[in-house]
Amino acid sequence: MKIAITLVHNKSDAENAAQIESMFSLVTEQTELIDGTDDEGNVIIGAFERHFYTLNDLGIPHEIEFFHVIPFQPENLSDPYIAVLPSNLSLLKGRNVQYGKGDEDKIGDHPRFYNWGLKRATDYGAEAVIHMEDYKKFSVADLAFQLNTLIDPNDKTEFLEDKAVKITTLDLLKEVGQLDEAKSKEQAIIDLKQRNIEKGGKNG
Amino acid sequence: MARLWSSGLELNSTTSAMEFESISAGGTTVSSIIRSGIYALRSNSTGSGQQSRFAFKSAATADGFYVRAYVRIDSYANAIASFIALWQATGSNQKVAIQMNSDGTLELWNIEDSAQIGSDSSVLSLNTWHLLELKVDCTTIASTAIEAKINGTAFASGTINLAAGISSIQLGFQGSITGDLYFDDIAINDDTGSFQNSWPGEGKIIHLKPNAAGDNSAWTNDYLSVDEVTPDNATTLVSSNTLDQIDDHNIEAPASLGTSDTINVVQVGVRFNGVGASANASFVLRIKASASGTVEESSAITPSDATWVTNAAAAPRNYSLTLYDLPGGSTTAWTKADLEAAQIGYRLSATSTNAAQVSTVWLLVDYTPVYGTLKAKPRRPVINWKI
Repeated sequence: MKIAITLVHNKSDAENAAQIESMFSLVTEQTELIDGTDDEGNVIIGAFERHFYTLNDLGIPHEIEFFHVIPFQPENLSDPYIAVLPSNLSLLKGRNVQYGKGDEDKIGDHPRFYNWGLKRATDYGAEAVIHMEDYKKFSVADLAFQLNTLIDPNDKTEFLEDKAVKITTLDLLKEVGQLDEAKSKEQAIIDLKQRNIEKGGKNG
Repeated sequence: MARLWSSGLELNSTTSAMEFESISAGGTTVSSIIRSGIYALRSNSTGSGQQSRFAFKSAATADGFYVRAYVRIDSYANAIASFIALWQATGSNQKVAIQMNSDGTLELWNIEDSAQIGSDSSVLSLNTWHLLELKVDCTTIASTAIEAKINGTAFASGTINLAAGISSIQLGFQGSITGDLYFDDIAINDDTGSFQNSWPGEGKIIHLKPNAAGDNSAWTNDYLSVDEVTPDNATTLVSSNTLDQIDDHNIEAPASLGTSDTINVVQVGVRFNGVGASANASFVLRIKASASGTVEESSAITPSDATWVTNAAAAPRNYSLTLYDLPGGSTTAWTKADLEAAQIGYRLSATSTNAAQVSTVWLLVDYTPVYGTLKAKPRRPVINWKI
């Protein structure tokens, strides 16, 4: 199962760094050696390397990719249009977005951050996107329970949430869409859940 | 991944691991006969076939795949032969192919079981660009759905039983064949994501090159070192081993685009290496739609060694940074005006013993022209002269 985790770096410098440190402690970077062939069709053992993360002890075959959101930084007095990245961002490899000119409203907990993670992660192959709400409450065991609900072919759950995460599936994006950015994130989530039910899906 | 790989042969090179993994003898890039951009691939088989290969997956994969290639035929194959084929591994175990007969008709084949699927197509005319598309949905390999289209209309389809998934494409005639083809505007999609997750459909591919310094120019040298076609590797390059050093470059205007053309996808491409045989610094690719605007960055690229390669340190050398709409998760599609103000570049994301080097960076644009419709002219009154 391909899973994405969206981390929003909208806290203090120390908290943003701590969030990365905390998630880094829960994952292992895997290297997969893959055989290839030369132009004559001869097999080359271990010709390619592929790198990805896994969550320790998740108990479900999976790959993890991280998506980092750097909100617009009006408090950056030297130049708010040059994003200051979390000091340890490179520790947790992944893709990122840094909001700049024209996106001055993309601060705090703007619903765009949720939408960006959902859209980009599914563009790159994610089947389920985890939006981290509170890394301090995040539990791999709880996530395993939630993912099993999504995997069950007889269960129509496409959206899950607890105090740590909100989980959205690719199917929900395709069938229901993304958050309505005209609403606050809280209201947009309520709206998304309602639309999910109207389309025959379940929330958990 | 949605769009896995695109190529308009705009790097003008047949060097291995430059644009294709390999292009055998008889394959040349040409600027005289093209469909879009500046270059196309001529695949001139003079008795021993001609194959251009690209691995879009690192291993045989059971998934849904869609291939687009524009093909111009200057002479038909002298005997039936594959010319658009999907393989289990690069150059090993051909699975599904579109084949050409000597009369210019096409056939869809399950190569693994040596069986034609469906009926022959109509004759493809010579010296004309044709949009050919091939679907292989081997999500369940024992019941793989395959289909082939010419100019958007299916001519053959069926369900076959394969023994393995696929990982690479081969263009050009397979076998002891004589025939002359041109390829341009190639695209490969898979069925994931919410964009480009089905047939690629009509599209033209161009490359936009750096033409001026953008918001940042911190690596050694400047945009003039990373703007060339064909990438010249060590001849002109930029280099860095300083954390968070950034180059952002303005790019040339997309002259061939109309203001209303649909931009399907943009992809930032890069030709790079490391200074050392190992322990090289990492970098990420960047794109923004305007100066000081919202930036999106790729995942880190770490050069394996000092070998110059394109897009990724190892196959599959798919593009690392692909966008279907404006940076930041907007639902707004790219426009010509956005491209005119866009900047592309790279940031040194992790230092190491040895520096990372970039020889060339470009923005690939896949777009669909929006054709104007003629205004309905008032009909002339019919005059009966025989009163």
